[in-house]
Amino acid sequence: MSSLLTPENLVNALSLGALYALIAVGYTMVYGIIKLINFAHGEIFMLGAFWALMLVGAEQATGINLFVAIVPAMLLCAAVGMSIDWTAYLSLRRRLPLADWMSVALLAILGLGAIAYKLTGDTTHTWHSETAHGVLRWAVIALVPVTMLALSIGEKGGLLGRSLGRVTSDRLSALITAIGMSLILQTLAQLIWGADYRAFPEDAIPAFMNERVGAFDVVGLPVLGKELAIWVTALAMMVALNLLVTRTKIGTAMRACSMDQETAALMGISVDRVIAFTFVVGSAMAAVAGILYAVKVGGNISFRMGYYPGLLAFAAAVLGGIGNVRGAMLGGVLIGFVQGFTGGAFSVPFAVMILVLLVLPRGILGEPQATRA
Amino acid sequence: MLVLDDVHVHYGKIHALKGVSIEVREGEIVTIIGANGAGKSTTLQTVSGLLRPSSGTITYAGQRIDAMAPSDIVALGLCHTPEGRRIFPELTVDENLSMGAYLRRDRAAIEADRGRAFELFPILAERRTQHGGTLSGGEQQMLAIARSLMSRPKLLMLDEPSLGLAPIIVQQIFQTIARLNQDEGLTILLVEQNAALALRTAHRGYVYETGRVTMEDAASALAADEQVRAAYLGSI
Repeated sequence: MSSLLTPENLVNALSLGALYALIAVGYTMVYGIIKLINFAHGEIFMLGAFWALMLVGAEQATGINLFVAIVPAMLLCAAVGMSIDWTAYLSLRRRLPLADWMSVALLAILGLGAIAYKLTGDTTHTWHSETAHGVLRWAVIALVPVTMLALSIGEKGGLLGRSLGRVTSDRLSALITAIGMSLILQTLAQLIWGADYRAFPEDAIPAFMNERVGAFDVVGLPVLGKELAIWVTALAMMVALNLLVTRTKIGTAMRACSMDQETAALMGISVDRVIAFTFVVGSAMAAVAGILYAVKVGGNISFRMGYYPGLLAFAAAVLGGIGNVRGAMLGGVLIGFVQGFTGGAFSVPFAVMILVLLVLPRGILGEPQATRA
Repeated sequence: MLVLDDVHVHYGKIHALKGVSIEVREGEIVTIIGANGAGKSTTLQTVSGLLRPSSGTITYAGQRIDAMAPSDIVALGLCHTPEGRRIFPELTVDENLSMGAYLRRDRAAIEADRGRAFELFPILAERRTQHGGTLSGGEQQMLAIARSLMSRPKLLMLDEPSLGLAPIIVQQIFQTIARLNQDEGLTILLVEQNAALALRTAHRGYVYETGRVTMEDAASALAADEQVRAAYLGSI
């Protein structure tokens, strides 16, 4: 083990921890309010990296500066996060008759489209047609966002019928929906950007990112500029998030909704809007994590990239105490350390999570269920 | 001010309200009494938008509100203090009050109202930075009422404010309710198990039985009624 306790591993552990913490807060905030593990959160992380790649330039740095690209990537991811809530989860919280039928229609068309796409792409089949194949690809790509947009506008505009009172789906259907949403977004990314691993073009990454930071050489830590950038960004975002949750009105409303949505509604809080805001904040943070992650590992941008970091960040959120924002930050750092010091293993962090949960079933900072006097 | 006309509510297959028609006029304290499960709380939840009537209309200040979202109903000046107080346990007393004023933007006036809430219930001022969950039942009920007042309601709906509280605290809370009505003209719709107390405080009352209004009259007349006395006042 002692060979794993190297300065390199310490630096790597810190960076991984910072990134997992950035993703984990998104899981934990959404869970805190709607008691749902948003498995599509890892895909937001992936989309953040892809959008930054598109904005910067896929082959060469022909687009905007990487640091500038972070902002629109955050906004785009925030919009996707919000529409995931509006299309997939909101209709489960408030049963809207028309939304159900639209979802069924979307899935049927997607399924048929996928079959047709497969057939037209198969050169041995009589249906083979390059043109049809290309058209179908873009049709399927366009269908998901267009339907999501239509559902979002329809729901927000009250065009999908009146909510039928307090009808809530059970948590299992919401969970399966989340997994489905994750797969839909992965497939969509694969259709758009292909299955190859990509990287930010070298000339898009400022030179200092890959140079040693002199100040850390004094203490014997081999810190590259990009590692420092990750630490500073993550720390700043965590401080900002903490202030948002504890000091602002919307942050207090988020906490109120996580304790008692019905009473929050009686105070005039629009619970659905607070939930949407939670998705926005979590998604924006995941977008930053995705971009920094791709910079750190020097590539690995692919439709699959959200899977492992997403799962590890989920483990981090559970380890820290699901629903607790500070717990997610702490859990992220711990998971990052465990992974960093075990040479990047994926299994050990989960083993540690299981061990900790055996002793502390609610996670490290998870509190026992609040009681009412 | 508030008119329910032939309101029916279903919980799944259970027919909880079977054509309720009640009215609350400006400046009144109106009480709804009746046994457990008669539909008293359901009525308040339906008015505040948590439940949807399956038929019938609810009108507030001349406007239909039966399809409106709870937050829009609060914005009209109709606030519901739910049964069991429902304080946010991990928010401080101050934060709980701020949530009551969620829809308001007039910062100075909000702070003035916060001061008034502390005048009304001085114990809350001492507990400002404490978590709501650490307060006693009586303190939580005071906080629940104070929190509702922070929205500057014109009509306040109180659900079982005496539930589980010591008699001395109940008295104090009902004095405050009467004062809010007399001094500030706050209209109040009161749901209460303690029928004797409710009828002493209110101007008019409705008696519910299994989802229907069976009697309506001035509170003093109801208190004197043989049937009401036998069924709800524990004396013959």
